[in-house]
Amino acid sequence: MECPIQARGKKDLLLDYCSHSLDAGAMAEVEEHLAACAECKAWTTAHMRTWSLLDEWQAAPVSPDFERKLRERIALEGESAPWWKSVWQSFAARPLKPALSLALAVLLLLGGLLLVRPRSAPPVHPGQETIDADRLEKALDDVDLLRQVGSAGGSKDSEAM
Amino acid sequence: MRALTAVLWGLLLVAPVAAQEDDLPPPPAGAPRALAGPTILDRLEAMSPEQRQRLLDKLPPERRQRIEARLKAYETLPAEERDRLRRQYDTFRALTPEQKQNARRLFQRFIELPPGRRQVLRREADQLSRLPWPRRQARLGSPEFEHRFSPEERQILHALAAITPNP
Repeated sequence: MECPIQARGKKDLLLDYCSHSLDAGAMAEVEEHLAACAECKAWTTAHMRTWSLLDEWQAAPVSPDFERKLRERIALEGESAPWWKSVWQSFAARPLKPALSLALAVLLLLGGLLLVRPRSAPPVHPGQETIDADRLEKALDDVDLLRQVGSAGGSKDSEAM
Repeated sequence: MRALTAVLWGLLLVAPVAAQEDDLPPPPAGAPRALAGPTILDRLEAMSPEQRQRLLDKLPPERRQRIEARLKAYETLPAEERDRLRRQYDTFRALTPEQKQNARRLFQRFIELPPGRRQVLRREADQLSRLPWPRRQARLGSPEFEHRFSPEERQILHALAAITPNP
């Protein structure tokens, strides 16, 4: 007989042996192999011990009102939980980590771009530009005053612009 | 998506370094600082003659002629003088409206001083302009300074110091 552990897909034979569901011929054949194969013998012994333990285990009795209490508690949780908690739970169940990281990166980048001051004159589109004549004259007045201040007291005072 | 996120995070790490390269070191507290960004004069200077003419043509003729003449006078100044004016004007622009108004009044008073006194103040202003801000402040507050200049002259020198960028 081919070793059930070594051969692919033959482990079921050992499981059937452990559950005593083999016919007498097959049972004898497996036992004969187990006598010769230490690996199969060890696997079968361990498996049968586990089953015997499970057979011995007895579940603790459930209290008669367990189900009623469980239903009441579920209903109570549903009423008292804030809306954001249920929304968060539904989000948390999904794999959002990469999306959140991307969103945060985009937000920070946009924020940074908004904070950077423009270094050059904004583009002027033909026909759309306007001029604030008051502002321009005020700027010329100030520059003129600064020029006079700069030249006053020097070798010669120049005329106003 | 992981690659995209990595690229964005990379940009975030690089961007502040790139921005810092352009930035000047921050001026000491209270020191004159220049306002960034182009002035209305810079904008006009950057335009082509056609663009500028189109813009000025929108003004009433009399005003347009007056402005054109003043712009021409400004543009025919030596490049060095214009550069100095531009730097001073950038510093002046950074003042509050009240400070600007006060400075205008004091500058006008400076121009009206007797020539001899004006020269004394001009020399003092030149010396102040060569000092870094903390030393400039110390000199403006020194007893010698108080002794040499009247209260109005001291105000004028303070105003001149306020529009002179830190060396």
